[in-house]
Amino acid sequence: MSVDGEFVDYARVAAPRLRRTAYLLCQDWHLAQDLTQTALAKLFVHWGRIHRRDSPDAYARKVLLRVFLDHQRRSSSHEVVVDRVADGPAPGGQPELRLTLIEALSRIPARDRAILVLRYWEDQSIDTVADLLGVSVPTVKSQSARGLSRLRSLLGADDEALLALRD
Amino acid sequence: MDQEFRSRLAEELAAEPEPPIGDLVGASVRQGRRLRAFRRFQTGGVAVAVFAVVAIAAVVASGAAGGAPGPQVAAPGAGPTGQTVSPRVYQSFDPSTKLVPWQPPAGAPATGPQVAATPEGVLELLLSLLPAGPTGAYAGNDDLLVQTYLDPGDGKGMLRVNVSKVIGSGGTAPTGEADARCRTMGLDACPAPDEGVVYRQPLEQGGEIVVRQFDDNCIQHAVVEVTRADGIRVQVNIAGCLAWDGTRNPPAPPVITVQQAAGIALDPRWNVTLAKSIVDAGAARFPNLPEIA
Repeated sequence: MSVDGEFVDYARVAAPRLRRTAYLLCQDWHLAQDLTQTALAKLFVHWGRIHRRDSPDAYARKVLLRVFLDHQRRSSSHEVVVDRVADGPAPGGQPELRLTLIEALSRIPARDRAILVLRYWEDQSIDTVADLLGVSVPTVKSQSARGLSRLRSLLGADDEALLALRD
Repeated sequence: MDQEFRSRLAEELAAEPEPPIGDLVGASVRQGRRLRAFRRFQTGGVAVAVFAVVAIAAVVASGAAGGAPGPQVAAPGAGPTGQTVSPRVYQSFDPSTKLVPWQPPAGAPATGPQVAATPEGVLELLLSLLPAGPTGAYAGNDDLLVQTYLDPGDGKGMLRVNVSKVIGSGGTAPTGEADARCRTMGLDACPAPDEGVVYRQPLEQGGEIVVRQFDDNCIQHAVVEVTRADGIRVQVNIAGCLAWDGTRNPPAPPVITVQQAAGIALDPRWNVTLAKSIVDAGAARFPNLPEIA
């Protein structure tokens, strides 16, 4: 099988999960599709080297993360400033007003969000996340704790158990 | 609890109206092929023009230096004016300082037939521009990003350099076009214009030099970025740590100053093509250059 054919086989398997990860990062399916396509295109360019690795998944994840963070940096909109965020829990007994976890994720800074998605969705270690982001382990720990704290604040007491995560 | 977090995300995702993925893979392959073609065209099509520019620059530089290039003698910590500076004081970088090129490193190959740059060639050129001291932990990738350690005498540190072409030759592209080209080329280094900037000055020949500092990114603790009028961007990353060792990025002091990094970045030979002699020397010296992931 050609190298390009091997890439197509890999991409068909990896694309759905990469797109879901991208969606958790950006909360927009169209943008998630674009980010995933760009990440896979970059992967394609370097596939000749990458496919010899044990885990192209790790490289794909890293490229997707970079594509997302680059998009955030380039975007003039950056983070949507919301000054009326429900910082506290929604009123009890009205579950329809409760924030979903995905909505809550969308309201924290992109870098903190990326750390949480990598750690708790992609199940990556702190060390791996630090490597992916090119930052130190203490930085990941502090930003992870900050992101979790923000999530707790957004989701409220009902989700304390859910967010009793390892910092 | 981690599993509960993940399960809830999965449940919420399952409840989302996820649009069909369509021909995402096919579109990625087509985009990837365009990227490949663009890079080949870019590195091949401008070779002649680049050769002329580099040759002229080399002649001018040689004249300014007052003689033909000889063997490189790069004293540790020697700045662009030959003054002795501490190699560890870039934190006290004075933004009012004018950043200028090194005096041309004598003896380093400057001209000759141009070929597409390789990470090995970029590393070869980088090493010829560094202050004296043992180097190692070499790595690179196809994006012309290279890595080296340097020990100027009081401990090793890490540098990473990236060379790219961000706008078309022959003029400065509008900001939007530059961004689009940056994305098309798949570059990662497209920071917001003022992100982390502590210094920004236009270059006499067009383009600009920018110094950025990032407290939360030890790989890019300080970044000197030269974008020339011909669209070539050279980024010298002064790290505050070493490369990933499997468990962490061990802290390590910066090994060159911002002034020294600027001197490296302003060298006119940087390009997406390099003298064949440099590329060949790099290939011979680094036959199995590890990849920067």
